[in-house]
Amino acid sequence: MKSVLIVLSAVWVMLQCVGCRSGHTSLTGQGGSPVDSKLINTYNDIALQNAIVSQHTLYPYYFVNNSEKLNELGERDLAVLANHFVENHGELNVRKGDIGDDLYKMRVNFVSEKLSQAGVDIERISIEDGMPDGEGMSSERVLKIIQKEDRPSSATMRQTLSSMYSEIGAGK
Amino acid sequence: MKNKLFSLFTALQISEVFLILLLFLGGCSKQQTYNMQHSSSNLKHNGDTEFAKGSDEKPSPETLYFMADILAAQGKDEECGFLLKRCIYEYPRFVPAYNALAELRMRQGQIKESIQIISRGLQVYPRDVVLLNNLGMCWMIRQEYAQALELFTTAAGISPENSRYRANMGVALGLMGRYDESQSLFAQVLPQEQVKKNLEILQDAEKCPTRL
Repeated sequence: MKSVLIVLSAVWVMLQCVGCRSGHTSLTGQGGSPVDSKLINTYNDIALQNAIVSQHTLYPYYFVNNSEKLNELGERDLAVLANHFVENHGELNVRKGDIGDDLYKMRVNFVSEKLSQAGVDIERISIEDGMPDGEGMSSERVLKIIQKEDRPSSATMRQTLSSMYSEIGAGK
Repeated sequence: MKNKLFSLFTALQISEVFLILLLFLGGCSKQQTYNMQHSSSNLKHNGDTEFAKGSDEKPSPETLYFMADILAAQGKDEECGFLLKRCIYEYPRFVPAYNALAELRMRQGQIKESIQIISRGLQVYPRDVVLLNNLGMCWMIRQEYAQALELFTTAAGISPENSRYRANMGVALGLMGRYDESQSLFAQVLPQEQVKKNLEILQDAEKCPTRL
């Protein structure tokens, strides 16, 4: 009799646990997934922000063509840099690309204005036409090397590139 | 006394079994109801009228879209295209249909038509990032890299945390020979070794565009 009762109790407990498994799973799913995805999003966000800050460079693709104004992506990434420069001093590179001197000056002024509007003390940062790795090789030099190679085979190109980027990486 | 106790135990046992059955059946009432609604016997009673009602209604955009998807998987491109065109005509605000039809036309090598379809979608939703990105891809296939870059940049501006649009910008810039800019974008979204690899591929592709 006792054993029958024990078996029945065990079956009851099992049914309680297993009977509504689908409902239970969906509940944990609903509770768990958003938290997980939010964590991932936050991480991605920080990784991207760190990359933007470590490059601290505004390339021509951030600007509207033939204009001193930043495009939407430029505005957003500059906001990340502004947040950094509010609390830190340092260097901001604005790459000139193939635009004329006048337009380049206008771009620098536009960026300076945007930064001071965001609360950055412009005196604490220097804006120049540099590469992300400080004193590294300039893009003009890199392009000259590629031209000098006179369209070599892919193997030579790979060799050139690997040596080229190790030089930039070392900041020589 | 013994008999009384025995009858009490039996009563308890019966009530316990009854309770278990009750919990088992009642605990999953939702599932049960769902099954009941879809059982054939139920259809016999209520389903005919429900089914008849449904046959008069026009299919939803999702239904048309998924039917087109099935047809595409079966290789029935013509029927698939017809269904997607109908979906766009009847539901012009249903964006996935534009993308699917453009993709179908791209598969068929009709890039010009693909561009027209996505452009029509962008007239409805000018800031739809998927449409913008796909239009950029069309221009890239036509080797119009500057136009492709503009579209990828717009998409990246609207959705700046999406690494795909930044990477696509990097590809367009690389194919335009603007390697330092391309590298900067790859470095924002990819590990260093993949940045190098991508640049190598792009340099090879720039020399020989047919390799893309």
